[in-house]
Formats: sequence, structure tokens, C-alpha cells
Amino acid sequence: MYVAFKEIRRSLGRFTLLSLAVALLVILLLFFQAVAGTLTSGLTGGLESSSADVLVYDVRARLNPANSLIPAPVITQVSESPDVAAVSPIGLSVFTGTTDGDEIDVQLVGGDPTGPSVPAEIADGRLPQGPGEGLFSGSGFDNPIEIGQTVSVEGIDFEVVGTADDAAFNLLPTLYVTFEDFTSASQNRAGIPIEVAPSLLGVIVVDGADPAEVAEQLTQSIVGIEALERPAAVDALPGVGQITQSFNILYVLLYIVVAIVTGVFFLILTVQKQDALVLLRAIGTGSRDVVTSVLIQVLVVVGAGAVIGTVVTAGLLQLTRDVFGASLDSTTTTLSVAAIVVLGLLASVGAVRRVLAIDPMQATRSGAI
Amino acid sequence: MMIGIKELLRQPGRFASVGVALTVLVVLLTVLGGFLDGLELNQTGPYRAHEGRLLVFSEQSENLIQRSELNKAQATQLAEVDGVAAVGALNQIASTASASDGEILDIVLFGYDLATDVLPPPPSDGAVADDAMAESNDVAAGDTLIVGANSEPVIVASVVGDLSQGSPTVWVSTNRWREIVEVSNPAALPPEDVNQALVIEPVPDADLDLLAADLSSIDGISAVTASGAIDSLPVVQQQSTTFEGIIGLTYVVTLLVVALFFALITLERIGLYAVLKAVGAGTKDLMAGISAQAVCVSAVALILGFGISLIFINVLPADLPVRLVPSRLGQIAVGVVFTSIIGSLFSLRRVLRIDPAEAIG
Repeated sequence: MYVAFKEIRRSLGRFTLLSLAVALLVILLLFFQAVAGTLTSGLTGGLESSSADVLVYDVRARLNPANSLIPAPVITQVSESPDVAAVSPIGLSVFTGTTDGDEIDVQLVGGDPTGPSVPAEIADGRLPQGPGEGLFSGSGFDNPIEIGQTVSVEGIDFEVVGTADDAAFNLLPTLYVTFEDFTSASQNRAGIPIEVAPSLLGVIVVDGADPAEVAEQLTQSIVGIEALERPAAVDALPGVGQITQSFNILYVLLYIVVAIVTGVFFLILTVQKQDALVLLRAIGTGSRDVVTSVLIQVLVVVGAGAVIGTVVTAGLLQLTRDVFGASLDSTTTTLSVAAIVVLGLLASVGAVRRVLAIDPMQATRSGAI
Repeated sequence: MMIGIKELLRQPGRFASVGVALTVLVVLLTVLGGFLDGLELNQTGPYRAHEGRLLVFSEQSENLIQRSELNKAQATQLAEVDGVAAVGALNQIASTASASDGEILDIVLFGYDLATDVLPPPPSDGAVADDAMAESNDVAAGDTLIVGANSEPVIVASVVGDLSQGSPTVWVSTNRWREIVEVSNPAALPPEDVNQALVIEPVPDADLDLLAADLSSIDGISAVTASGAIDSLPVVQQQSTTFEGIIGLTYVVTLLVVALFFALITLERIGLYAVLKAVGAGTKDLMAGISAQAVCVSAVALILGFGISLIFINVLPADLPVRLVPSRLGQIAVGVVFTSIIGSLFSLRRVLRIDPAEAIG
């Protein structure tokens, strides 16, 4: 062990370079994870945090809330179905609004604030209770809108009376308002008093009922709709699967690069100091001690790289919060760092095999060392 | 330099380790570049279809079509500017469509007035479908698409190149677009005589940048070229920033890998280099040899890496937005070779310090 640290101290340059390479790879990995996490939660948060057990779509919408419009008779049919405790229309549309003089895109979610159209948990303040009030939730990419601030949309001023965490739709600042206000904003934008249909229905099932079964039953019994329990609706949101798959591919590639870079360099280092290792073995050092020394160096180099990478990523994400809106998740970070350290150790198997293959008798041969 | 190449040819196994590491890094760079290009191309088809035209948005919209609204008076004002040959409307809405196979898919429905180099003149009653839809759902001219929540039928008049904007796009005349939106999503219909954006067809040989500046001087108007509109898209900006940053960091890792490898190799060969210096080889000759080795290793890694990436990308699910663009591959090739040369030069200090006298003890 002593030799391992002494060698690191004496050849600080090469070990530092390798640690830096690992640190950069850790930065790439954690950065990807943070951005992917923010993207996914910005897309799924609205449904994931909803108080609805089941969500009802127009069957032609392909489970895409942006394309769904529910005809009025369906609301009655759903509310009269067995095992349905409450139903709320959910109107979804993106508007251009202004707040403090700045123009912003805002996702309006119109519904019954006392029903299953709003987030299950409120972070601060309260739910809207009447016209002109809204509950705000932002994605990581937005500047937060505080309680008391006003957002103007199509001539309607919404005062933010509460906030909810991770309940945004479409990666946009999201304002939960009454369905009447949603209708007025839509009509004001159209310039004529059009009929505004909800995009979805939120359903709460009666106690003891299985939401998946209720969803299946609704789909089967009402023509033109497709109902899903909330977790299934979240998984079906367009883009979520693609984002997850794309980033998973990049994670796998990065893990492979970390393993290869670490493995290759410890193998080269071991080959380079083969003569010294033969001598150590010849004077009685056990192969276990020599292997331990290699593994300690791997742990130090990869561990230092992981720590540096994590700290730098946290700092970078903090500095670029306006651009990426992402921060490190402690569980994901811990698991990723642990995976990289384990991969580093596994990758050093080539170096370890070299050490185990050393024959101390080589030291007795002329010119062997 | 020749001695470096000779060593590489005689002992290729010695360079295999760095070659493998570089190959994996080339694969990573290629896949990252593929995602960046795929994401950008998949989002920007409708804008690329308007190359050679100007796109006009309302000034406060930040050139985002979904935020923009332009009225008839503004359209008339634009038509009167010198250099403008024609003004047409451009509107969009997310919708769904089903083809003859019955599968419903997400689309973006565009209403337009003016033909471009890519888009034919708007069919009076039918639609133009893009290649993404033709490939994924086997849609061809003459097929009927059922569009929107109210199942509006439109007959495909022609199929054009890939103009995806996240989803496949379907193009109809402005009048037909308004009819479809009015019945399928009335809340999203702009008021009469209002359009989301306008397309400007310039007179022949007009300077687009100058014309854009002229039009933008009109109160409440922002005129940009197609590439200007693409650059304004937040999704493109964010993706470019993220992926370009990550690609940059990957080059730094490549630099460190090459630098570390050649630093170790140089350390191992100090004695040999001392002998070479003693018999008259200069530092320049030695460094040329090391750099030649780095270039050769990176060239082999590029060939292998591109080959592996091609196979890898072909086995990925078709719906993932990855596209290999020749110019991106060229950039990666130049970047990796350049980075390798710089990495190999990290050994310069150590080679400079070699004293030929060491060769005689």
C-alpha cells in the first residue's frame, strides 16, 4: 500500500492526467444525467404529479395530450361509469403571456381546482378558487414565478396564489386555472366565442377500485376514448421514450470509454514497471500485496476523478442554471460514481493478470531485468 | 518520421491499447454528433424548406411561429417593400393523421400559400406529405389521410423530402388549414385575417440579408432567413449548446488519452532517444516521428470508429433521432487528428530534456 501511494506521489503528473481524463468523463456522464432528468420531468411532471388516478383521451390523439379533444357527452358518460368517484375536464393549451413586462410562453391547464385536474401536492400557497387565480409550476428551464405575481394571458390577469413542484407540462411555465378562465383565454385568442372542449378528463376512482381496471373498463364501454391509469399515461407521453433511450445509449458509451481508458492505462503502467514488480516479487513481496497496490492506485485515480468530476459538474450546472435548468440528483450521482469506480476496478483486470503472471525467478536470469 | 512509422508497422500491438481507446472515443463523438444533427434536422424541416425565402414573425415573438401573429395590414405593408415579389401565409398546428394502414400518428399540419424550391404550390384541395411519413407509414400520392380529431379527409397530392418538425409534416393550403383547424381544434384557430407567420418571396437576385433588414425596420416586424429562424428556436439553441459542449469535452478527453499514452511511451524510450540524439537525430526529427505515430493511430481509429458507429447506428431503433451527416464526419476526422497531434506534442518537453550524453552512460 505504501509503495502505491509513494509511486503516485513520485509520478504525480501521469496519475493526475489520468484522473483528469476520468473527471472529464464523469462530468460528461453527470451532465447528461442532469439534463435528461430535467427534460424528462419537465415533460412528464404535469401528469406524474396529477391528483387523477386515470386520464381519459380522445382515441385519435394517440395518448398525446396536445392532440386530444374530448366531446362534451363523454364527460357525462365517464362520470356515470361504475367505480368513478370524480371527474374533471382538463384543458391544455400554450399561450403567450406577459409577467413583469416580459413575454413568456405559458401552458394553461384549465380544470376544476377541487377535482382531479390539479397537482396532488401543493408546495406553497393554495389552489385557485375562482376566476383570475392560478397555481404555478415551472420546469427547471424557467425563471420561477412567485406567489403574488401576475401573469396576463389574452387579456386575463392571473394572480399566482400557489406553487407546485415538478408539475409542468411541455417544459413550459405552467399555470393551473379554472376551466372557465381557460375557455375565456381560448375564446379571446380566437377572437370569437368558440366552443372550447377539454383535452383530457381526470378521473378519481372510488376507494378500493384498481385504476388500471377502471381505465380498461372506460375504454371498452365508451366509444371514441382511450383511458389509462396515470403511470401508464406518463410512460406514453410523446418524446419521453426517445429521450430516455437516447440518453441511455450515451450513458453506456461513456461507461465503456471510462472502462477502456482506465484499463488501458493501468495495463501500460504495469507493463512499464514489470521489472520493478519482478524484483519486488523476488525479494518476497506476495502477489496479493502487488495486486492490492495496483487496485489502490485504481481506486485513488478513479475516485479522485469521480470526486473532481462531481464537484465541477455541480458548479457548472449551478452556473448554467438559466440554460440547462438542471441540478445533480444525489441518488443518481452516488450510483453513477459507484458504477464508475467499480468499472475502473473491473477494467484493471488486465493489469492484475499481468501482475499475477509475474514469475519471481525471472530476477535470477541474466539480463532479465 | 520514418523511424516512427517503421516502429508502428513492426510493433502494431504496442499501439493497440491507445488505438482501442481512441476508437471508442471516435464512436462516442460520432454518436454524439449523430444525435446533434438528428435532433436539429428532425426539428427544422419546415424552415429548411424555405431556404431562399424570408420568414416574417411579429417582433415580440422572438421568431417563434407559435408566438407570432401578423395581421392583414402588416402583410400589405410588407408586400409594398422594394425587393418583395410575393407574400404568403404560414401557419402550423400539432395534430394527428391516419393513413390507409389505419395507424394514427402525430403530425404537424402546415397551411401555406407560396411554393418554394422544396414545396410545390399548395394543392387546392389535397395535401403535400413529407418523406418521413411516406417512409414510416408507406404513404404515397393518391392516398387519403384522415386528419385531426374530426377526421377531416385530405388526399395526398405529392410527397416531398423529409420536412419533419419533431413529427412528420403535412402541408395544405391556408384556406384548407383554417377549415381543418376550425372543426378539429377551434381554440387554436387564429382570428380571420391573422396568420402566425408570413413567407416573403424576394425578387430574383435580391440580397436576402439586406431585404430582411429593410423589412425588420417596419414597426412590429421581424424578418429572418430560414437559417436565422432555425437559430432562434430554443430547442435548437439548447441542444446545440449542450451537445457541442459535450463534444468539446470529449475532444479534451481524447487529447488527454493521447498525451498520456505518448508521455508513457516517451518515458520508456528515453534511452533509445538519447542514442538517436547522439547519432545526430534532432528533437524535431524525434517529435515528427511521435506525431506521425499519433496521426497513424488516430487514422486507424477513425476508420474503425466510423465503421463501428455505422453498424451501431443502424441497429438503433428507427425512431431515435440519429443521423450521420458527411460534414460532421469530416469535422470529427479533422478534430481527432488535430487533437492527436497536439496530444503527442505534450511529450516535447521530455524529449527536449534528453541529453545525448546519456547514451554513453
